[in-house]
Amino acid sequence: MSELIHQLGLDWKLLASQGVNFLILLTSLTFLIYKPLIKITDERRRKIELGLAGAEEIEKRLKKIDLMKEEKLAEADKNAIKIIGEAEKRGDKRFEEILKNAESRASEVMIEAAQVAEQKKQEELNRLTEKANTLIKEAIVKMVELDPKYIDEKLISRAAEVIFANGGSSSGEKT
Amino acid sequence: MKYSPKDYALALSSIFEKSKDEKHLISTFLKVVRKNGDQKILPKILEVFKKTEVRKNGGSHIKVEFARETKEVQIKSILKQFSPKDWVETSINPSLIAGVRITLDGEREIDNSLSRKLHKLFK
Repeated sequence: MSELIHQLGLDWKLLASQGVNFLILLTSLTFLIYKPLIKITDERRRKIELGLAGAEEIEKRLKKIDLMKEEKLAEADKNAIKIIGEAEKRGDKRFEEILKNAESRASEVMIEAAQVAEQKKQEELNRLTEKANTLIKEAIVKMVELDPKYIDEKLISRAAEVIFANGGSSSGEKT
Repeated sequence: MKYSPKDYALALSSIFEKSKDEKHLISTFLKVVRKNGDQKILPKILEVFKKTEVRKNGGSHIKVEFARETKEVQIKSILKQFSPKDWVETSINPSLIAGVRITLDGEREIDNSLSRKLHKLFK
């Protein structure tokens, strides 16, 4: 064995020192470079994994949010339709009320107008009647004044008859 | 006005019953009225007194209003219907237009005037 090593030109001491050097270098590199690198790599991987997991979570949440949004939108649509329907119903009802009130008011106005017209007509008729009465009275008075004797005699005679019929001053009444 | 015409009239009426000296009574009465400053209501006092006296004697105060100057015959035809105890006043009231209105004691009325007939006709 040692012959073989000798034939190969190997120096045990040198080999041992080189081996020691290698071990020192390996240990140094292991502690100084390899382990920190591994640590950094692990950290990075963990971060990436976490990131990926977070992304999935976010995606899930986004999907959930989308779903919720759609649900909310659908609900909002439903509510909006309901509100619009109710508003339309209320509007129709209000319109009917307004129409009814307007019809009622129009009817009242018509009645009032008819009453006013009737009143005016009656007033005009009364005025004309009064005027006609005044004219007739005036005509009668003028006719009587032209020749008052006859009617005076008649009226006085009639008054005397009434007094006589009532027994003179003992009783009397408006004739 | 211290007293009403009715008070004066009643006082005058009562003193006439008690005394017969008319001139003296009237003179005293007028003095009292003057003293009270009631000369203005003297016509009213005399009217109330006259009415009181007429009523006391069983008569009535009769106001006869004609529309215009009327014939004596017609006036008599009215006046003869009343008793001599009555106090009859006649006057002319053109607002009657025609006819006559007779008021008895200011309460009862016989209105046979054209004015009333027209009023009744056109009321």
